[in-house]
Amino acid sequence: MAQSLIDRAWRATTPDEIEPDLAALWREVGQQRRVARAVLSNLVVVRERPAARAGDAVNADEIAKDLTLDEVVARHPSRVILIQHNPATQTACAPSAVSVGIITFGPPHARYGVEQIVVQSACAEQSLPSIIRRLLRGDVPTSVWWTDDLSEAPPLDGIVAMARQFVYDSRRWRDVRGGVLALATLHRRLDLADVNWRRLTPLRHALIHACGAADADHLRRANVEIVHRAAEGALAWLVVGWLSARLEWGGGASPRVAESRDSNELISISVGTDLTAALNEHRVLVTRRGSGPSFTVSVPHEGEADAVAAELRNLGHDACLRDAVTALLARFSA
Amino acid sequence: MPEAPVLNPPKDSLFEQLKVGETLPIAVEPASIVIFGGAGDLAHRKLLPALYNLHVDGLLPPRSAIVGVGRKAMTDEEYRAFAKDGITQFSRRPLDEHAWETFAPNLFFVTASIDDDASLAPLGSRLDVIEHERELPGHRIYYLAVPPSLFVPTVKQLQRARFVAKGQGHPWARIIVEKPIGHDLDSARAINDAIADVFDERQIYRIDHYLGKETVQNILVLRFANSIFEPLFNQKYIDHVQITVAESEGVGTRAGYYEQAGALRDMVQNHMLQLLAMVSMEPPHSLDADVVRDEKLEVIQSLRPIEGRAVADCVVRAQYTAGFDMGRPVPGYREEPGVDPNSRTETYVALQIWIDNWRWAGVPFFMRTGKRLPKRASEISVQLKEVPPILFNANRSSKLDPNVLSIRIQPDEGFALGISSKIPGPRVRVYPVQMDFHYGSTFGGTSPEAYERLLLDVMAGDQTLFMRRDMVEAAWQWVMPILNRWAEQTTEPLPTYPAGEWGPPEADRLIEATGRRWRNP
Ligand SMILES: NC(=O)c1ccc[n+]([C@@H]2O[C@H](COP(=O)([O-])OP(=O)(O)OC[C@H]3O[C@@H](n4cnc5c(N)ncnc54)[C@H](OP(=O)(O)O)[C@@H]3O)[C@@H](O)[C@H]2O)c1
Repeated sequence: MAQSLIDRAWRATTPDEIEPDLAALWREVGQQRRVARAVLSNLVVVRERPAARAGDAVNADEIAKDLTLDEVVARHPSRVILIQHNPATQTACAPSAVSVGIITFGPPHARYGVEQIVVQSACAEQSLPSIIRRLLRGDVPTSVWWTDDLSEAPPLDGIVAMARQFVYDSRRWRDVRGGVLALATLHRRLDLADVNWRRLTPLRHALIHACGAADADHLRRANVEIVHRAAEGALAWLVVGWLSARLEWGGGASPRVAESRDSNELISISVGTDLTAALNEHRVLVTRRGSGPSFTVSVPHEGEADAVAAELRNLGHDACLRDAVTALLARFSA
Repeated sequence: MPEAPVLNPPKDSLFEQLKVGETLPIAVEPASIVIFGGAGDLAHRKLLPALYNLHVDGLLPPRSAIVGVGRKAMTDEEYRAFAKDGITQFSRRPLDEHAWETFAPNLFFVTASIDDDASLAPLGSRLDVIEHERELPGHRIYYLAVPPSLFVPTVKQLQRARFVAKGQGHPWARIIVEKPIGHDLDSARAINDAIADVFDERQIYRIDHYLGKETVQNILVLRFANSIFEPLFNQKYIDHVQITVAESEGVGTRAGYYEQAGALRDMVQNHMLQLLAMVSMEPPHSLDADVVRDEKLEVIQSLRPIEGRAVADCVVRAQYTAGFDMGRPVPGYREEPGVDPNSRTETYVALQIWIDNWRWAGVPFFMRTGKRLPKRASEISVQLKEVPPILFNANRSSKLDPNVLSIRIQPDEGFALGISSKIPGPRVRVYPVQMDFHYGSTFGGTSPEAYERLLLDVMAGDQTLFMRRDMVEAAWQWVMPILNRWAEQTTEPLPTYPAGEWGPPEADRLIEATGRRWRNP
């Protein structure tokens, strides 16, 4: 999205004046040009940040640099509720600073705008649900986008209870086991959307395709080995979870998962000696020995904003991801 | 050759002729507006700012006098300062010094006590002087902004001091009665009887300020000025209706009143039954006040009584406990100043209601209201029936969202229609989108406050937005069995909900038992 097509109108406000100030901003924006209000969902983002002082205005440019929020809501217009939370604080209190903004996008003849509410909270975690609940619009679905590492900062139950969808990126996990265990209370209640899981889609489809041509039953008995690039451990374990669920592996069946420092591939899977599927940023290469020709599946180029927006749009639950997570939970909590 | 046009012969007064075609109700002639309790909270926050805004808009008839009455000793100048303070703090428009200079001379204060039989005499003489000096015709509006226990004594004093001639004579007298009208059916009847001794029903304006809100008035427009909705408003197409009136504040300084009232009396008996009536009434054959009010009454009379054991099945009451308000810790109801630590007053109520008439047979109406809920918001949502479970709705694990027409009453007045739409792309995927209308950004500016519209209607003699006696009593009649049942249950534990949450789990179960869920505004 060309930068020139984005405009921001911001103002610092108080917890009690959020809605009136947003209404005033809409009027001001509307006086300058025709702007349609757009809102498909509530998008709640909670992230850890040091506390701001009361009355501090929000630096919108800094947020835009840090997060791809503008790009996400340009693609999937949402009311953004961004909570910058300082977890060190133990006192329950009102937010230390609040700012509201209208961000407008699009060409002059079809301009649309979305609302952003940024809350700087220097209060105990138990205060957060009441703040978010006040700001949600009830007539549209609510998605929580967890931008922190879930394995280190698991979400508050009171916050996810308000959501229909939980969007996260397992690629951020420093500890895959910890990340999976953090999903234990979520995966049955909410629609999970893992941005990292999207990256596996071409690989999964390529494998399904390859198995469609070969004899799947003999593959079931073969040893599976997964090699991944550094920082792609979560991707590898997601494959394990998916295969465990689909091939009904018991806890005993354990594929080998190894990290390779010098691999060109993000991840590659070998099933016995017959089948290999290797994923890099551009393609999945499937090689088969003796049971058919090799083939390539291309990988779409998708930035974070595209991926998050696409997940927000999907909304319905992804049975494959849920089953994969369930299988990993069984494996990791055994 | 065409004939020369013939001028209509004058029928009525020049005033009547000139106002032909005007769309806003135009008050006929200036009047004296006598506010008993003129230095109270309601006058400060609502009435004086509303009168000021009417003045700014040129809708307050010139020369009208506004006379505050109370026991306090206050000069006219002090009363003007009191009014200016209220306008500065609470008016929807900032105070404009020029407008204030022309408004202030219309304000007066008279010290009088309703308990004192002799004290209305000085009020009478002061009004005579003011009306004489301003050449007013002597029309009077008496506004009862005093505690409800003083409604009857005030009316009796007006009678004793011969302030009122019963009937719509000339000069006319009208009375505005604030809520609550009574504490139960008997006390409501007693108040209505006492007022009826002095005033004719055509002179009585019982205020329910909800009815003065733009969106509430828009309910009838939405329903009867658009051919898209009305054919759907019946049991064939509507699955259910929800009415939520949520307050984020606690009981505040009103514990004395609230302890005696509770959510059912404070909200349901009046505002919420009015909203229910507006959204479900039959089309009136005209917009005449009594025709509209007849149709609303029909609805209240068609409500299935909730009595005896049915109270436990259809009604949930609860009290808030300590929790959070926008992050701040707040005390529970029983810890609030002025509240009995063992209080059983409900701060929340949820109901499942049936309207036993042809149009709504089998369609449940769910209502809930409470204090210390997550936000201040009032909304009516009309949920249409689901599409059959085939085609796009075939997947039972991710059912389509049903269509919902939601009418936002406050804040951000407007309405929205939720519809399912295909997401652009090669696959058929469906997303619930909103067609949303906001008064604020569509029409610009701020809507008039409810009290502006209502005061204007009293001056113009239009009773449409006021409650008729039979309506008030029918509403009491319907809530009484619930109150009576609760009064018998003095030991059962009362459900609770933490401040800042959407009510108790019992209320969720009430609606979820029918396969539905609350829609939070
Ligand atoms: N405040 C609101 O937002 C609100 C909303 C809806 C309905 N209402 C209703 O409006 C009415 C007034 O409410 P409020 O909140 O304005 O109450 P308030 O602040 O207590 O005012 C009551 C007024 O009545 C006067 N008063 C009391 N006893 C009197 C007596 N014996 N003789 C003459 N004047 C007397 C008081 O003045 P002195 O003490 O100087 O006599 C005071 O100005 C009530 O019926 C209430 O239920 C209020």
